Amino acid sequence: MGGRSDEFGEYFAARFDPARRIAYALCGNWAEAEEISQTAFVKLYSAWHRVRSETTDAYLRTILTRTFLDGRRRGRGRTRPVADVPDSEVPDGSARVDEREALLTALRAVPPRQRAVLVLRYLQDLSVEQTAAAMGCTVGTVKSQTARGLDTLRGAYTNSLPLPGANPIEHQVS
Amino acid sequence: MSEDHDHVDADRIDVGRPEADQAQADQAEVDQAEADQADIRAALHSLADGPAPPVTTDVATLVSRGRRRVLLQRTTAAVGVMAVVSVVAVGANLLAHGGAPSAAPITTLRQPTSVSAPADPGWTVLSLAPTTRHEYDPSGLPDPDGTGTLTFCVYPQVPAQAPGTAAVPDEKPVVASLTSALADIVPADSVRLVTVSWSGDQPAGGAVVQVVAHVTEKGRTGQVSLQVQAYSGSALANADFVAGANTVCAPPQRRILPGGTLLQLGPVYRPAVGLCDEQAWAYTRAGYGYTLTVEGGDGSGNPAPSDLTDHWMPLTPTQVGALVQQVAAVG
Repeated sequence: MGGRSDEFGEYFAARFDPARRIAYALCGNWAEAEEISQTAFVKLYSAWHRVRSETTDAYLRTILTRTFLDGRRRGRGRTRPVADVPDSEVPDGSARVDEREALLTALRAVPPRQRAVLVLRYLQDLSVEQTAAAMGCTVGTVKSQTARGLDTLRGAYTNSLPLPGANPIEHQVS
Repeated sequence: MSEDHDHVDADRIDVGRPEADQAQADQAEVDQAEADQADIRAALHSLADGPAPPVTTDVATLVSRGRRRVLLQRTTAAVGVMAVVSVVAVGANLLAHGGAPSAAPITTLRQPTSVSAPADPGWTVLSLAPTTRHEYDPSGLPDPDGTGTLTFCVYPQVPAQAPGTAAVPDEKPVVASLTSALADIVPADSVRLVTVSWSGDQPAGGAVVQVVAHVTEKGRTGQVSLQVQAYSGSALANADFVAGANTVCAPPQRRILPGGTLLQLGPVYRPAVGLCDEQAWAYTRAGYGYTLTVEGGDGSGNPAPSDLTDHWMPLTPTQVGALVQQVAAVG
């Protein structure tokens, strides 16, 4: 690979996994997160000579978000078959896994654009203006989508949290 | 009774201090909202920073897809420009002569066609038809094939396989294998080892060893790089995936070695303007995938203008096939 590809390779090594994790927060599925990140990096590669190094992260963030939203607009989330890559997580304590599962369930209940706003604002800690730039919408839209997204997520998260002692079958064994 | 009493008191306070109460309520709402946002922030970080399956994407695949995208963009732009030029020319012709245009369309898009190419001895050409085959008139552009058209193809995509979790082989035998195999093919003094690198998260799988060597011939330097990584799934599924990423309108060739290693030799990528490259892969029974990339440049990213059009390669396709077979003997 040439110098340009070398730079891209270094950027890939440093940023692909963080991008994949953000995509996971957006879509809630590791296989799809990998694919969204792949698509975003392919688009980034094709624009690599035009992107200034200081704006690369912002550019990647924008195309990652829009790739996710484009996929949702085309109905991908409704028709996609079971993931090719197993969505297994390393067990690290049932309580934390339950909480994450509850959050994932709740996030899936939040409409895609609101979900994207929440991820940009609260996971990536972007300002309202930066979020608007990444999503290609107005500041006012970001504010309203944030408020609605928080409401939806709050309600869905409360409903999806497992009740203590409700699930484990072994508790029924005397 | 107590509740009624409290309710009456509250009503009385509301009537007496509405503004202070409103401010208190507003402040409570703001506090609640900030607490909610902090909870959401913590929960999202917990989700994104939690355990994750290993990354299954390698940079070579992305670069390959990226090149295809760049090619598609350039082709689209070129076709668009030529279409505009042809419309203007036809319009001018009509205005000048008042008759029907005589020029044939200068761009064509065809339905998929099967492609056949002669196989190298011992290899079988893969029966893989592209989903789309694009051709356009290269007027004003270099025409390396001299065929009057430039083409690229898009093949059916196959899902990527996750990297395997087996430990990657020790880098020393990999380096020795590449350099000795190169020395068997080209003069030993023309080969120079450039870098050996190791990356990835070993416990979670996905570790990669990469060896880069330069091959110099008559003042020209080309690059040969070899990546080794454990793979999961079948050798066939992995070979099918890389075959789907091909953009050249010629299918790869395959052969199965007696020990069960699957070899795949890609066609030479020969852009209108740019450096050529060719890839070959080996998937061994031991679960290791070898990706060999041979390029017509030294990887510096600063080729001479003449290098971009002469389509020189440091190794022939037959030599690339022999090389991947030898390096895969590591296991």
